[in-house]
Amino acid sequence: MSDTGKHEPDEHPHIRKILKDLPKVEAAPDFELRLQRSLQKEKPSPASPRRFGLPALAYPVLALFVVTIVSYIVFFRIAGTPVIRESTLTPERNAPSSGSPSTHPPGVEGSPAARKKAAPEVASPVPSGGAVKESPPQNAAPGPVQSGRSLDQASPANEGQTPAATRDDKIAAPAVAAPQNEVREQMNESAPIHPAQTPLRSVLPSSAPMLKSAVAPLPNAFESSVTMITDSAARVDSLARDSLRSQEQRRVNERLQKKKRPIE
Amino acid sequence: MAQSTHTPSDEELIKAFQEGRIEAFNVLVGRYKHPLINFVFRYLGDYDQADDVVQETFIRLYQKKQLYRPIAKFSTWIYTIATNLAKTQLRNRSKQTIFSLNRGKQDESQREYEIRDDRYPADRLAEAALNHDIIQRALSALPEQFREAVILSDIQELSYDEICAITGMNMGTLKSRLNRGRSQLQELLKDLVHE
Repeated sequence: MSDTGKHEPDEHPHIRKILKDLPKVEAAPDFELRLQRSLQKEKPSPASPRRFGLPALAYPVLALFVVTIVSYIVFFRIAGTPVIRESTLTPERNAPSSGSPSTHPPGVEGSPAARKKAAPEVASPVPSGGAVKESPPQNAAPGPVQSGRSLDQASPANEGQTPAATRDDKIAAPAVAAPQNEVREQMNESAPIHPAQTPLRSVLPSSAPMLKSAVAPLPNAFESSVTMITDSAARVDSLARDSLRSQEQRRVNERLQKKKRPIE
Repeated sequence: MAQSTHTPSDEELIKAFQEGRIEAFNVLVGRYKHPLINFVFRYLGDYDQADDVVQETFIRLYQKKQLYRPIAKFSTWIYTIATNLAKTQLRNRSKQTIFSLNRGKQDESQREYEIRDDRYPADRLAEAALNHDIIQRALSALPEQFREAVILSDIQELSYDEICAITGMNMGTLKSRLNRGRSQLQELLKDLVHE
């Protein structure tokens, strides 16, 4: 016989004959009735195959998805917010009292309050070195404004002067400003001022008097934001430069302190 | 008249049942209840358990009709279901026996002893050839894999291809198991066979 044949003729013929001659066992007469009853019992539970028709990992995968979403919100959105603020605010710390976003030019967009503050000073342009002897405005923050004004002295009259010239002016400042230096140092820790941004007026075109007048009374920090807009490279490297500038500012302040002591 | 002589094949019936015709299911039950009962009874050696297994087989067929694909014969598919359920039943029964009495070896030796019992006179062995109880005990004494092959081949008279499809064995394994199963059965029923 072939491989698929039913019998191998020479193998155990007696056994095959005995097995073949066995009486056929038949199902009970009520087999189909009992089967119908069993199927009737099974019918009310088609929900169970539907319930188990879901993939076995459906619920765990859903739970894992929810946990992933929650953990993302907790660790990246909430925990990551201070990091984002720090990185975004670092350039804005240069302009703490400006109140205007650093990405917009000051002439186009600025806070009305800042313009109001600037209005009297626009009427009487700041002479070179005059602002040092003036007491700071009551509304302005003492540290940045003071330092901004001292740095403002270099422009436009003192254009081309090094920051050392401003230091000399500061040495000549009255003793009233001395206690504010401590405050200024504290503010400089958190809001460093950029000496390199001092010659801002040279960046602005002279044919933009409106912009210039708007910028002139504002603190130096506000000017730094203008610099950031005009110089895109400064915006890109602002974080790296901020640290260098803050260090430089600290050094300047330390030198100022050293020079003030013999005077006092 | 032509319609009355046409007998639908199993595959046509299961297709009709998959389309929702319950009468096709009833026809399939009528066709396969006796062969399945015979096969499962020879495999388990207990009629009540065989009846339960075949009932469960048809229930599975009813519930999972959509799982059948026409790439295989329907008979192969339903025999596969019945074989798997019978194996499960057999294992559950053996576990229960060990758990309850823990005398499986004793039962086995008793069975062998009864088959070779010399109390049966020689002149009665010829009559006992028709005694399916003795043959059934001999079948039950066979190892499971040999028993399955022998029953499907020699009692159910399925082709080797069908047996391979049902059991998952390849042809060489099937022939080997058949040969060894028949040899063991011949040894168990030697008095009966010599007569």
